[in-house]
Amino acid sequence: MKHWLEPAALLLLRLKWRGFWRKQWRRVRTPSGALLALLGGALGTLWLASISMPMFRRGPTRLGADEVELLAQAALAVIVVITLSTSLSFRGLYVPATEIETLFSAPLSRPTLIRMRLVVALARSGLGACFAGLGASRLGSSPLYAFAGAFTAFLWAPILGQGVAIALGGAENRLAARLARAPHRALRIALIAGLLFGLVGLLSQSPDASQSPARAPLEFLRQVAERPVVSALLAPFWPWARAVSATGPEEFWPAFALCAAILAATLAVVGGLRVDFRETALATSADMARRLARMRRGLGAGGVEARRLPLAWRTPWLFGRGPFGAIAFRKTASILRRARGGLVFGGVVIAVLTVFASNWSEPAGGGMRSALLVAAFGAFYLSLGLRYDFREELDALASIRSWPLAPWKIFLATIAPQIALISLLVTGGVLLTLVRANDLDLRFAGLSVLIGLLVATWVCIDNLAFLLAPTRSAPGHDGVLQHMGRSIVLALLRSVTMAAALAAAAAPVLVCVHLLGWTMESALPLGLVGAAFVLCVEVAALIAAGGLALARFDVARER
Amino acid sequence: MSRTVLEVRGLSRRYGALVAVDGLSFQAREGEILGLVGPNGAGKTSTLRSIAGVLPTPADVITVCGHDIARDEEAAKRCLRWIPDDPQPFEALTVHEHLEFTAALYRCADWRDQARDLLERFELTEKRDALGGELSRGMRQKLSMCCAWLGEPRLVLLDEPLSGLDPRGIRSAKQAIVELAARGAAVILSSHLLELIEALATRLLILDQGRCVFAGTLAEARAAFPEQQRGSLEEIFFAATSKPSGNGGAPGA
Repeated sequence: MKHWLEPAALLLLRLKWRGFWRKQWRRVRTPSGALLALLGGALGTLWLASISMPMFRRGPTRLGADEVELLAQAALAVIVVITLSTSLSFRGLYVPATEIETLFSAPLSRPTLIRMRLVVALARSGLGACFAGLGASRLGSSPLYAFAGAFTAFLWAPILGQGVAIALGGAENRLAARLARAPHRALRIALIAGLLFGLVGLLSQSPDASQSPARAPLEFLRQVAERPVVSALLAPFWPWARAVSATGPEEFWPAFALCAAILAATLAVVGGLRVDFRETALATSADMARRLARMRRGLGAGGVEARRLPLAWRTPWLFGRGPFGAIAFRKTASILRRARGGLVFGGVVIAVLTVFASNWSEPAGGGMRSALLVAAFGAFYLSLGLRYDFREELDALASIRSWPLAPWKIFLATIAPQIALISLLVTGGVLLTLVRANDLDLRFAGLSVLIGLLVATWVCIDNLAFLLAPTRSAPGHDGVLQHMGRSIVLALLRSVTMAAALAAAAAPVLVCVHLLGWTMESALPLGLVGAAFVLCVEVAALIAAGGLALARFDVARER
Repeated sequence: MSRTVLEVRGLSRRYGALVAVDGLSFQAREGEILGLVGPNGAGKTSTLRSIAGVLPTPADVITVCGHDIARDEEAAKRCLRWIPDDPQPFEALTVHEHLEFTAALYRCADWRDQARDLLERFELTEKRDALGGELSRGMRQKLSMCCAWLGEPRLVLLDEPLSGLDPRGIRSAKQAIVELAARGAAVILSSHLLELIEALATRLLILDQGRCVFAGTLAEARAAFPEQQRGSLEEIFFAATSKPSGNGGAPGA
């Protein structure tokens, strides 16, 4: 009898599985690796416990079996739409770029390659399916039945998605690539748009006042589900929904058997697809490798590619034509060519904040209050959202350190464009707010200086922390637990340092008010000048520390 | 008379509007080291990837050991080994596990002794338990050679096999290539190192813009380019690739 998975493929999967655990073991053998894994593990366990505890400690569910079934059907429909939409971004079969040459030139049949991928997909979705099962177990009449139903559903959805992607990849091979890619995009857009319209449609119906708030959304769902089209769309998810909502074994086992049979049949069909996916798989793999490489280089979650600007655009030399200016120019060019989406996002955030703050503040004398709100939230949010700093320079640090400039100047020149950009956006928002409130006066200049200094303080702390502990995580990287633990520690350290910096900046005002007995109004002008002075000193100290961290940065250290 | 291991008939490969390989035909026989040279973008890697089955090809274009790579793909692939220019091992597998997997993949019986010898030859014995992700470029190259040499491959495709190797590694690799061919395997060696090709190749295939501009031995090349009677391969290469394309190049083409 021929094996479902060829022995060599099975061996490879076994070796990779063993290798995965071996790597985890190697990571926790060092004290820091063990400690960070413990931290990350503790966080994960706490989260898991928060989901699973109600499963064991709850009383009978308040929802009826019908309601649970309907809810499960709808939830599964949403999950399948999201999974399909994600799968459509992979044309054909996704094989990591590091393995594709080996596997495609190996004497393994294409169905074997698909089956290997399916086994990996099943293993990966297993953990997610467990979480989903735990979540569903809070809803169903029987936690165990609900868990089993949701678990099988979450195993099935990625397999279905993979099958659809392979089938569409095959169609692309037969049709001209350009013709066939259009349906991919159109399908994705249609799926997401359908989902959004559905949700908006649901939310736009006002609840019946006689209903209790908890039950009202379910009532909408029922009304919507009774429509023939929606009913037909939800019907395929009935077996899983029935398994989740089952109240006894006579309801659960037939439904569960059907779920298991559908999963097995989908595996058999997808695993037996005779599609030549090489062309699309190579293209997908190369695309994904480029994206991952950009993400690992720290170029943001989307791994956005640099694009040429129209010829009319010239990247400005914001900080002169010397070495300092050249480094800053390099960064400015990178921001303008790669981060147009980010810039638009920043502009939208500031616009929304401005409108919100203007409406929120009182009409009389509220201009400065709104401006402060825009300044505080804008600086905080954009500093976290628009990061174009040393994170994207990690691979280039060896050459950056050889540049003929003092390390502190390199440090400053690298972060200066980001500071300027965020300060400019926030100051623009503040200006708009003050103009709208007809409250523009000299205080705006003071506020602008403070915004610049606050942003500079945060960006310096953020980059100093990164240079001291330069780690990044991207999909496909190992050590998730360690990364989670390290992220928590670093976030805490950054927050504490920033809080200390702000406290020191606020000290002059506090001294005037609490020790010298001044009123807040009389203390404010001098206090703000003092705060600006303290922030200047802090920024200078942080830049010096950043330069030191850059000078001592070990480019050979494993990250 | 040695048997034909690889036969390529009218191989073409396009990437959108770009023609990477244009109607290429050639053969490789047992014991032959075929040097594949050409400027960047000449179509060398596309040709090798097509032969390796990484890129799809129509039927009746590539035959490996009598098996059509399009019709009888697995049997054809079982005869060949492919080492890309930057080989990537499996990140979480040890060096020894790579050999274990390769042995299973190509159904090599009694592979352990040969694996030990290969590890020794390519100076990887001490790296036996190192993970693929921990290897340097040169080590990766050596590991991929160990995997390719395991069993008795009939056809070995090498794309820049010496990149990243130290002088000792280069010497071992050169020797191993010659010995492999002496055992009856056909080797296709693609490289920009013309001295390497000149030293090892028994026959040359010069490509330019996806077309063969010369095929034959070095002596035939010298005859085909009379102005290079005593010239090195480098001079022949420049003479061959500076001719206007489309004229079939030298008489050997």
